[in-house]
Amino acid sequence: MSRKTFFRILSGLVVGMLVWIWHSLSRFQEEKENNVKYWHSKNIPMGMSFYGKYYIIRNKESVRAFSTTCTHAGCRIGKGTETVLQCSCHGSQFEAATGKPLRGPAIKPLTELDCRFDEKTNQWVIKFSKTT
Amino acid sequence: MDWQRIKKFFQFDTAGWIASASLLICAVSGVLLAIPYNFTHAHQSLSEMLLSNPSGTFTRNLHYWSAQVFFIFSILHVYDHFYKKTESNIRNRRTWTLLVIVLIFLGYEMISGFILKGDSAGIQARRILASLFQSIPFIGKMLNDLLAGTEDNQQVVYIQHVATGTIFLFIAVYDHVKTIWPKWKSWLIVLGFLLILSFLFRAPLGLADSTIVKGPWFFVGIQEILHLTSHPVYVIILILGLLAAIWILPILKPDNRRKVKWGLLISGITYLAITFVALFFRGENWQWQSLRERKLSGEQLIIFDPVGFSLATKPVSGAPNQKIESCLQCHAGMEGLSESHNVAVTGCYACHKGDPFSVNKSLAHRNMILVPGNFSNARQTCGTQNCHPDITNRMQKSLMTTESGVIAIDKFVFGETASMNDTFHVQSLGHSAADQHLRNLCAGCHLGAEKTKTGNAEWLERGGGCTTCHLLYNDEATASMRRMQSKTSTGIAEIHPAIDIQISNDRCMSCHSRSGRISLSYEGWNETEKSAVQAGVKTKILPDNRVVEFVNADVHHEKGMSCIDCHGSYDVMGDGQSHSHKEQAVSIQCKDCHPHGKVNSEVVSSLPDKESQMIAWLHKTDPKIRVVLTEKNARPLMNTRVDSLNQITLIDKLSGKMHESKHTATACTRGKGHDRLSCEACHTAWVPQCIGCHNTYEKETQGFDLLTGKRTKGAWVEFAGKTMAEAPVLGINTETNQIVTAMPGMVMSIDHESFEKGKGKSFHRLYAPTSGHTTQKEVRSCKSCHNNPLAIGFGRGELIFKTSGNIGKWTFEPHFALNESDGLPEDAWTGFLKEAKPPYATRDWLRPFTVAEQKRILQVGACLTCHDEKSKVMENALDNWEKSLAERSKKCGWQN
Repeated sequence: MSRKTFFRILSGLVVGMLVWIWHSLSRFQEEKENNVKYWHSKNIPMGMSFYGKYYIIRNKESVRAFSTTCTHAGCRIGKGTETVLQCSCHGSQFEAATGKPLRGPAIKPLTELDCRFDEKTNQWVIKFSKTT
Repeated sequence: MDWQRIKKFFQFDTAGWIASASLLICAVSGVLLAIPYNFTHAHQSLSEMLLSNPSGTFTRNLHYWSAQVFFIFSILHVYDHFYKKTESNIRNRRTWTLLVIVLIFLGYEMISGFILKGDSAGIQARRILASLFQSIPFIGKMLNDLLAGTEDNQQVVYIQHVATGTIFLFIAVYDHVKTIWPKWKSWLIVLGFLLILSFLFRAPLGLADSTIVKGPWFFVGIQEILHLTSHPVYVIILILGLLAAIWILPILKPDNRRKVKWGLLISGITYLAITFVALFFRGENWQWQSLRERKLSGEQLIIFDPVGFSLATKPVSGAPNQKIESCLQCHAGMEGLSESHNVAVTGCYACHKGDPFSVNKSLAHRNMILVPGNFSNARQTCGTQNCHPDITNRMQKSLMTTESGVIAIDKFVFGETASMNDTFHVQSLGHSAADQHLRNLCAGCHLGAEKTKTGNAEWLERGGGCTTCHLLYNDEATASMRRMQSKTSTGIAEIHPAIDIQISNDRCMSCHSRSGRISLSYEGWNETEKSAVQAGVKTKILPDNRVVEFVNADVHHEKGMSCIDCHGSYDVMGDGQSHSHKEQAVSIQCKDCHPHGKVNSEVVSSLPDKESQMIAWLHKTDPKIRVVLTEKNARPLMNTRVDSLNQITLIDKLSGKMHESKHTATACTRGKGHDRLSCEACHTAWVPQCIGCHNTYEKETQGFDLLTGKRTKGAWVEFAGKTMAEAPVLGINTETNQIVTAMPGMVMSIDHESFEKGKGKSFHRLYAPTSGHTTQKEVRSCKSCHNNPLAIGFGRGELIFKTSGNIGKWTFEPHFALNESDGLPEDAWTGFLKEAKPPYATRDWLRPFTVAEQKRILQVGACLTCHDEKSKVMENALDNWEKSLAERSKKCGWQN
């Protein structure tokens, strides 16, 4: 093995190691983001309640939570009306009750979050791991 | 003039060296900017800098402008090379590859600088950048974590901006020209230019909560392209495609190279065109906006705002949730606003616009909105996404904005529409006979009319959008306004007019004292003639010189209730639907607070609409409390309480006084005889009733166009008699089959000929459904309906029951002359024992009694001529009419 080849292999290994570290750091970050939980008292108001990163929609039958990250280009969507969410970046609109897009450019529904009632704490728990 | 010398001066160096000089200045100013800048509270630190740190502001301006010059001249430098075909001079592929890669870092440095402002556009830009990175297969997430960081922490972006990106740029420059130092002369010229630029023009900073999210000028083209595609990855492919085209240029044959360059040039020009459109014609939520709307939104491409080195500024330090605006440096002491519009929290800019970051008085006041809330600016003020977009959207369709019902009926009687239920908008009125009639007589009462000056609205100044009802100057606020107008105010401790939901009746009176006149009636006043002003008669003169005489007030008014105690937000500001007539828009009914049986109610915590939740929060209402829901469409009445015993209590919104509300009285539901009667049929004491009017167009009369506020030559003139305060006429609602109250609506003759030759004349006898707003606890007597020709619809006159033996017969002698158009007395709705001819009323669901119905009413009336209404006979008749009729004595006769 020539010295040039040796240094090329060594450089490749160093770059590979850096990429592996980079990948590990990134995976750790992702796991951290996916393990964020939010708690809400039992009495969640009817209709849509907006909490920045997510919103909760409660009707007589169910309580659901959706991410407020626009499925088009990642912007944070805001409250347009009581039943419609609005993306201020590119104009997409979503139906609050189902998360379905009403107006483009977004074509995918909002990500529904894991939302369940915790009997032990008597609270609603919203978890940022995707359910759809 | 030596043009060559001037040309030479401006061409002092190449674009590349100008860019290089700017890069050095940008780096140095960036290092200095790190002192006042705090990436953990980016927006707050920059706001404070702009308001109280001129050196920091200047440094930031220098950093911004040097970056812009560096970016522009770097692009021009690339263009220069392509134009002069000198790109092939770079023989080393590594250097060329590095230069292509550094174009990515150039873009990254520019966008990360924008992100680091921390305003809403910057924060959203980081999210878009992260999303674009993540759309790259396999390595997207890793790239995102490395270059865009996380939602809650700007640390990654800050470090990559100040270190990684900058280092790459310098490496590329050095690799390209083997030095980073431009000529001293070039550097000094660039520095001088940038110093002037930085002194005069402020680097932009948006608001932390702005709903107008627009990227930096070089990025809005991409934003527009993103808007046009559902797949953002196409943008990545497009950018990589352009970079690939640049990268392969040096190895292409000259002919292909020329074609690629043309492609790049056309792409560049197209991008510039898209950028122009996006910059000027995209507004809130990336919707199209006109240039006027752009001006109202406060957007500025280049902000002239010389750095105030000489201005005495005091250090600003914003507390959490407190606005940092230059306005508050002078107006922080402004009082008078309610808690929900606390100036420390909402600031001034949200409503009045202007420039919230300029410390120069005149520049801070530029493009201000004097009267926020007018519909011409409501979208940019009260109705922005952060405030009340639902309500301002609803209001656009409210009948108080469109006047649709009024227009439809007017056009119907003028023969300009076939249906009374067509929908119209007052702003769309043209100049037909009916339109002109409306412009002269009716078109002033709508919320869209513009309020153009400060102060409480005068009686005839109607409209003003949200301010019509929600803006109220008390005496102190009026005195404050006068001090400010006369420039005698110190500007520090002044009183702002209140903006709240405590709407007093006088807000409604200006408009609702016309037409059905319910505001007047509610407080007990009936419009009369000027001659009525005399001693001993309780009269008053309205600001528009009409005279009103006191009759008696509605029982709810006497108890202290206001209009808003019954008519909530959805009744008044619309429910988002386009309605034809007021009865569709109004939700409240008597039975909501005076029910028969179980109360329709809901606990506050389960109320579905956010507006009610907000009111509950504002008033600190216990979420477990139950409130009444209207039966019609389940609107909550937030000022009611329903206890466990089904008892309703109503709280006056203005005074806080409590009223116990009674359920429907047993007398109201007794027997079958009256089960079709509406509450109003018995409990309405009186309604204003006119005899009719004549309308003619006078071409030479000086008129007034209420829609435009301009004087016109020629006007429709209405000749009307006095109105009489009498118990309402009764009729049938054919949709509910109920007996309801009516009053003369459009009983009028129109001289169409006077407006347009050949059109002739017309006469209409249309009654209108009325909700009198003169409710009394005591009901009208049996005779006031069964033996009263006015109530039955015959008009005023002598209704006489004559008996002959055991046969009785009704006769009617009208007081008013017969109208030559239809042969009925002037004040009648239908003929005595005659079938009426349609159209009967201003609604297709309202009609007078048929002959059969008239006979049934008069049959009871015949009994009442002998039997007292409280007699056993009549009470039995109320319980079972058929039985009473069968058991009547032979003396009782009836024939008609």
